[in-house]
Amino acid sequence: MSRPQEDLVPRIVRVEEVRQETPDTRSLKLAFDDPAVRDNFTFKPGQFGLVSVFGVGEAVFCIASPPIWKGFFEVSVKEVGKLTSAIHDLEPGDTAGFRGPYGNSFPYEENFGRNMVFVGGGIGLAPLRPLIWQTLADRDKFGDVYIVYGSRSVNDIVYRADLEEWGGRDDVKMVTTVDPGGEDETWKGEVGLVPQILEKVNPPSDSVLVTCGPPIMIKFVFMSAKKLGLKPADVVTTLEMKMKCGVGTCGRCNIGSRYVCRDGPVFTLEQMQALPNEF
Amino acid sequence: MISKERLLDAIREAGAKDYAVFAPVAKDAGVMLEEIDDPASINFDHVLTVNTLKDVGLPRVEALAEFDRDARTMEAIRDDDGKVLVFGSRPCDAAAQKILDAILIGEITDSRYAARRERMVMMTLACSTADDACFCSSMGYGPHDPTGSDVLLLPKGTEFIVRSHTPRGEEFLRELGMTPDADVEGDPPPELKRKVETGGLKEKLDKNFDDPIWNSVSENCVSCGACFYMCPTCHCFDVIDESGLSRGRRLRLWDTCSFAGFTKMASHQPRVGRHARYRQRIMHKFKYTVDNVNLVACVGDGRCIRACPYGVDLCEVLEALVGNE
Amino acid sequence: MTSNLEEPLRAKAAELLSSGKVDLLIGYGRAFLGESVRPVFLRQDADTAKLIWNDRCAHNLATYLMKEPCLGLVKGGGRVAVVAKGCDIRAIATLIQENQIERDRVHIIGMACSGVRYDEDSRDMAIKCRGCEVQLPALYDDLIGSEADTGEVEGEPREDIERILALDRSARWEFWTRELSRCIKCYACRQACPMCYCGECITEKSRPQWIDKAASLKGNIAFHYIRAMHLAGRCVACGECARACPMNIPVDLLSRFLSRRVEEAYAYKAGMDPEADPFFLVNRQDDPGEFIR
Repeated sequence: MSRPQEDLVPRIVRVEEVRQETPDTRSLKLAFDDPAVRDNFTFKPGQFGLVSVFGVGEAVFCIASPPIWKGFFEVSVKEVGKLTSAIHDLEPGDTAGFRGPYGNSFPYEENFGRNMVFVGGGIGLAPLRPLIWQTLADRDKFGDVYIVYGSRSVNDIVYRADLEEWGGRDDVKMVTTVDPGGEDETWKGEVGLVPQILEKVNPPSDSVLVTCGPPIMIKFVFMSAKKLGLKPADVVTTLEMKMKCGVGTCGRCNIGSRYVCRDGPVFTLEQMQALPNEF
Repeated sequence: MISKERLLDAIREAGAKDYAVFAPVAKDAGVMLEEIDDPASINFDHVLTVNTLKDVGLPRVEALAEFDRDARTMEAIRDDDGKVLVFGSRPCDAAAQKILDAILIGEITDSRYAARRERMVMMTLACSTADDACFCSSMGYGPHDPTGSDVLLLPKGTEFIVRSHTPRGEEFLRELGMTPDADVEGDPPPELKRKVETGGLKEKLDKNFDDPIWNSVSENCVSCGACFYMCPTCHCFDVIDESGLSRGRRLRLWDTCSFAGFTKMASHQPRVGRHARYRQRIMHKFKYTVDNVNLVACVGDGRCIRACPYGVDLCEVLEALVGNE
Repeated sequence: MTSNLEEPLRAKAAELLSSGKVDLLIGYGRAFLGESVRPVFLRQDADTAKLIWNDRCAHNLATYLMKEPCLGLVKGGGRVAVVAKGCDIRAIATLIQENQIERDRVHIIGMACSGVRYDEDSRDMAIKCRGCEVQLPALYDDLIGSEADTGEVEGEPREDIERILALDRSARWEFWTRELSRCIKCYACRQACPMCYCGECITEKSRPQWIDKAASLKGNIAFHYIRAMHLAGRCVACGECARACPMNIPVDLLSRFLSRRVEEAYAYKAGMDPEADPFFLVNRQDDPGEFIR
């Protein structure tokens, strides 16, 4: 299998829309300038790319929209540093760069017929979002679908419209929660940490669980998954490491012998148990 | 056999045939491998050049593209046409190219590096001397090893035996009207004082990630990048934009796991401490690259030992790791 | 060349470690390469046979005081002993002045010194030793050797700064562009410097990005000039930055020159008095610079 040569140069994208998700997080709808690239752009849920702001640099973001939405794609960006701040300065009509898609993707067809449990924390819902939409588009191919989403506070909830739509479906069991102290008088969801709520939801032990969130949440979700009797091979997450090339040559994102950009970012708990604790 | 004078004539002729010639020349930093105009300036009696072939194949600053925010363009910059003759680098440095080739050309290919390698002819000068830091033979190479060389010149008295080791080498010799020598023995290779036994090292590294030995072997390290930047196989890089400009260049720069910022994200630092960064360097060379491309990423050139201001000695570190229970 | 100070040094080190007066002792030991020496970290008196003292002991070991394991050890109430020459002790004194380490956390084993050399083949002493004023240390907890062990430093007097000052502006610019263009930004100079202890160096700051990250002339000049400015009145002229440089760039010229200007203008010399206020913390009414009054 041969992959395309990589010259590390992004393609031009235009910012079509900016959506303020939370006080520190924005989603950007991006479209390639070149119509041929725009029409042929395909990717799989779980893959990522690098967004460039010219004169500032580039960094890795997961693609946060499903491939079935055509003509554009979305990334969600939390402002934490120089580049993310420059991305937040972008307005509709502005120019940016994008290269990708890179990395592996979430297991999909092999899970047809299974119960699916999606567990997201904060902005960690972003990589799960394309997978959830894809799963719901193929709803009849799966068993029960659970979504557990938690954020620090009511103000930190992302993708409100999506959550509302998912929650309104009778073929999805969705639970939202905020950390204790993060609720307000209007809050109708659960109050508690994501792993506790997951255990309360108590999905069947033969489910496939896909999770993403802060590293510490992921570690606790793993423990809950074990308590719930899920097999390590059925517990899936996506990892975040600093990356520069995206293709496995810059030597930065390795955990042991595995490069998160090339061999990941999606790993099962079973695979992660074989890696050194350096993530 | 070829005399030094005739060899220099041949290099002159390569220059006339539009080869850019890189060769060792005496400079402020010591003997450096640089692009030369006059073959008479070539240095023959150094042990190793200060710099490595990375300066030819994977330079410390490389412009990837030019951007113009207002014009909405990001145009790739390529500077990889034209033929290059690398003359007079040593067998260890030639072997290092084969390791970089395995890492950077393959399932995923670094197109710029690959293009530069494609146009590079390696005419290597086998060693007549070695110093206390040389340990190439312990890494499976040697002062007269042909790995990575298109043409290998073996010293014999004041002359050189010419050996071709690749089709490209043969073609190059033909182009210059030179003929390879068969059945002639050169001077014996120099004896190396340094030897390190690495049997069992990989098995140790497979298991010792959390061993306290990483603290003791990295104690002298001050976390500078001298060993990395001097190393012929260290290849990690950074990608940055020329800062604050609406028009400028996107650059690729050398970077190293020695620096704490290498893995630091705004929200998370997965690799904490000098011992962890030094462990990454050793693991990358002696385990991770073995796992990925089945080669050890070290040729025993010893530059890391020579360059270290505080005496971190790779051979001793390897011995300590092998001997550690 | 071994010195007759080696045995007394080992005896003192054994005493300090066995009595528990210090938890860690940083000294010099043998390295394989070129019969040279390198730093060694000793934790028990049995190890003191590894200690050596000779004219190759050029490293300034004070640089380790600002790194692990010393930082953690000192924070936890431990004590560190450092084998130090007069020039190295100026660095320790500066760290004390700048509140980076408490005087009683560091045990200074001062060495009477008659100069060091970088290279086994070199007959001459390291250029940093020419004109040395601290061959016999003034600040120490234990002194090994005496006036009698401070032989005269051999070699021509040091005039490297004068030679550059004698050049006209364009020749000086040519000199620095030639030297700094080959910097590869490995930061060995910074990491070796006992005075470069910032948790986050200005080169790593990205908001704003003060210094061009690329190892090209522009970014190299910015880095070395800014570093020199940060060392004005703090550089103790130990020469470690230049010794550490794998590209053989005389980076110490810049910081030494600025420290000399500080000395001329303010009669202040870094690290001569651990009780003195650090140069940059003093605002004097008679400051020769008008802008500051």
